[in-house]
Amino acid sequence: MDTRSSNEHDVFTLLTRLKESSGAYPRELLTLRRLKYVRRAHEMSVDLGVAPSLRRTPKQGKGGGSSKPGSFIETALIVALIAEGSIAAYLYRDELARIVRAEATDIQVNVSAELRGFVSPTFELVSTKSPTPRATSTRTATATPTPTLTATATMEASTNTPAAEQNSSNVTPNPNGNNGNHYGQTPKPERTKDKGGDDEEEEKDKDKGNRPNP
Amino acid sequence: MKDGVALLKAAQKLDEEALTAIFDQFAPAIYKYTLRLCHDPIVADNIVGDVFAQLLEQFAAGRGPRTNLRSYLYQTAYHLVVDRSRDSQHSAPLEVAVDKYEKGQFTPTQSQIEERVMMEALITAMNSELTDDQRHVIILRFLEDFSLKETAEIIGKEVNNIKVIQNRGIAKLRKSLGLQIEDNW
Repeated sequence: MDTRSSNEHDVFTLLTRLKESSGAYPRELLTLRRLKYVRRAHEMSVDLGVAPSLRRTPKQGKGGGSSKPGSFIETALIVALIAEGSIAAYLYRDELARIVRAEATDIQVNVSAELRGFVSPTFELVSTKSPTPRATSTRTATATPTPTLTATATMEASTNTPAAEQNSSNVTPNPNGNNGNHYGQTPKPERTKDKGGDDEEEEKDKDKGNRPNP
Repeated sequence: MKDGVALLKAAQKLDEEALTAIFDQFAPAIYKYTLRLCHDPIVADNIVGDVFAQLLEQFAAGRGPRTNLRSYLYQTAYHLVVDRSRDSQHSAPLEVAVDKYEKGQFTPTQSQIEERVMMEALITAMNSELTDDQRHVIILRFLEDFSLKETAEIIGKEVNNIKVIQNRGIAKLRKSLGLQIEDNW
């Protein structure tokens, strides 16, 4: 009897029967719960109904969603403004030209008045001696002779330059055909040694003799 | 009457009619499910309120379920029950479910008495022998008729895990029922 009953009432059959049995939602509780829910849903739907209209307002303010009539009116207004401006300019063209001329003369007068304060620079060609590099070879009596070549350049320039010439640095001088290319015009440096080539060769030979053989 | 998808779409727009229809359709089932888990009618009612309040909030925020509303509601209820059970342990048996058996039966027959004993044994075993996961899976699978996939979604586990949990739970119930019957008789 015990084993028979346990076999007959399988777990699944019991679960199916348990499913059919139910603790039904008590009517009072269900009614109250439903009332609360419906009220809350109503509030939410009202909020949602207001929110989109608020959201739409700034979008229209941006102008991103401007309608066709709006853009047409905008274009027409711009065209009307341009036409009005051009008509006014045409009617008062003489006065405008006068004003423009007066402005131009004022500018010229101001420029000439400023230039009066300056001393007119005299563009004189001042010949200055170009620096003459002098090569002086000094010998040192050491075991390893190192010939050093020291070039000393002396600038011989005239010291008594007039003030007008000093001012000339402020104003760009007229080149007068001188484009600044002095190629071939530089005077050759003076030779400090004799032209005799024998002495130089002798000195070279002496230098070679002093050098240690590698 | 709107079908499921149309109802869900209307509810997402917070249509009052659709929201009320959803409540009428699912609230009793959610209550029953919650009552089986927590065994307290007041707590079950509160959980039903929380479930639908969360649903409204989700819809208002532009979120919420897109396809399976039923599964979503059960999942929410399941999480709420789990959260509450962590706070306070309820150990009352599923007596609420058995009440109906006792009502309106003045002269029980022999088979009815046997059935009642078996039902009590089953409910006791479900409450005492099974783990929380096993109890939830068995309730969802056999009392709420969810598929394995839906149950896995609600519980938050893989389908294979749900199969294992279910089989172990059934085995435990079988074993427990056999032992209890022998003890009683």
